[in-house]
Amino acid sequence: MKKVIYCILTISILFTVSSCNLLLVAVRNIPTFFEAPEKVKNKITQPIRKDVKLSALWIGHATVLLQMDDKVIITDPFLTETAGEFARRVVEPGIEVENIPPCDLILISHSHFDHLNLASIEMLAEKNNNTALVFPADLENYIPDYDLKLYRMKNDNGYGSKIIGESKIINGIKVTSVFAQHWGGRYGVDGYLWGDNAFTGYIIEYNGMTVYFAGDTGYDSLKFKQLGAIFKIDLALIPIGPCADCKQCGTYSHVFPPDAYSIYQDISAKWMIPIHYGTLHFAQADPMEPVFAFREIIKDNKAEERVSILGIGEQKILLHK
Amino acid sequence: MNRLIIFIQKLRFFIILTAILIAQSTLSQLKDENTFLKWGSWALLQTIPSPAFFDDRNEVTSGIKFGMQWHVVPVSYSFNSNKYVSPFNFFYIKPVNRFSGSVETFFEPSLIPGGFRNNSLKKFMYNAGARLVLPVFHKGEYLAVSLGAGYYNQQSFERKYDGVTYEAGVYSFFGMLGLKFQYNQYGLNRYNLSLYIKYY
Repeated sequence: MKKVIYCILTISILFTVSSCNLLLVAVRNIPTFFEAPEKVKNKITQPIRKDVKLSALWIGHATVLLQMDDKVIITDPFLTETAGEFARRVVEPGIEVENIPPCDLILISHSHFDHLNLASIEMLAEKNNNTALVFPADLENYIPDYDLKLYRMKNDNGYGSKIIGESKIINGIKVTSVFAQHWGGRYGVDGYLWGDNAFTGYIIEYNGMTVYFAGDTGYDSLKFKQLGAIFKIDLALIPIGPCADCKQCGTYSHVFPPDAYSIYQDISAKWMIPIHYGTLHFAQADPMEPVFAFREIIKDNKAEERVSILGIGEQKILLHK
Repeated sequence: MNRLIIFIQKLRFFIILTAILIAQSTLSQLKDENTFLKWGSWALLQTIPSPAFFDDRNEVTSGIKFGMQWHVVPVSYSFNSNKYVSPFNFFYIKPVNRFSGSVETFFEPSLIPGGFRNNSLKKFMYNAGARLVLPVFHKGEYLAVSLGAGYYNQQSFERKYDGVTYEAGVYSFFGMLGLKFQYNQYGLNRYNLSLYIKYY
């Protein structure tokens, strides 16, 4: 009997160790459950304007509402108060859900709980069933059916050798899945052990404008330079966290501020908006820590006019008609 | 019980090898699927039992016994799967397929290590049947419920007690943690309450 119990204990410990990253996130988020998310003042009620050609509204974390002429695109929608039940927002979403117009594209970069929020997709699906839900291969295993048009994009099994997955014209917009260095999975072990590759970055091209959404990625100088050589990117949405020691280089799967700025330089984008910080407790530091470090980098490089650090709920109009 | 121990001893090599692979892989997230590692770790995870409490009564007195229950889902049919995945899952059940709405068959062996005291039932029993799983919040990831019915089999040293069992469950944390209540036809072990722990 003792042997059986030892076996069971061993397996349970292995399971716990394999999922330790999720557990750490859960532990770090305990304090957030005792305070309501910070309110966003003066939320924008009409994010889409007729006189605007290109704009970006940062809703928080990796969620950005893009206007490209008459098209509306939202990235990794996270509009609820919690992500995966155990991570609560520290700041509420930067726009009221009812003020988000029907979208042409919903882009999902990967299957992690802070990027793939099933309830948020449902909220957007209720607005318009002509919306396209675009996601990388393998992510189909993590989404139910929605009243949306589903598009699965190839990603070269996690971009082992290529940097381009595939291109598709979706609702009149050219969407290309491109290199990201991350990992898939959603429930701990499946991501860490089972080699799930549900992750990607995106290039969105419409009416002569090109936007790059990095999703969540680590840094590979060569591949980002190749990407910059292929696409003439106007706006880049690049993550800068999570990080504790944010002046250092990032990890295999996450860029920290110095690498994020390197990506921006490698791809030769015209403008950049940093994302993936200030919304959830991931690292041991303050969620705003990445932007403090990033601000210094921007100042040192005199890039204040090209890089816009937005507050949650703030909109940057980049091109007028 | 001895048979179970012998069986586990036979699997020693497999368990150790999988454990080593898991320990290595946890340090550097695997990029490519390793079939042995995937199915080996999945099989190991299925052996984690769910703690359960079993009703232990006779005509005069009653008590509660602690035991372990394993949850096996041979077939699941999801009525909310997307166009890229099959609605049918066999044994390895994708959580979102299951908890966004599904019907499934189940087989649940139970073991009461300390044995029953008030009735003469043996330590091992099982139940099998079908259940309906319905999402409540976040497509079932935050909260889902189930209702089911089936057949249960228990034996005493003298006779077999088998009959109908009814069950209801609530699930949270992507459906990996839940609470399940079971009502059995025979009075010797009328109510069971168990945690529900299942990964895929």
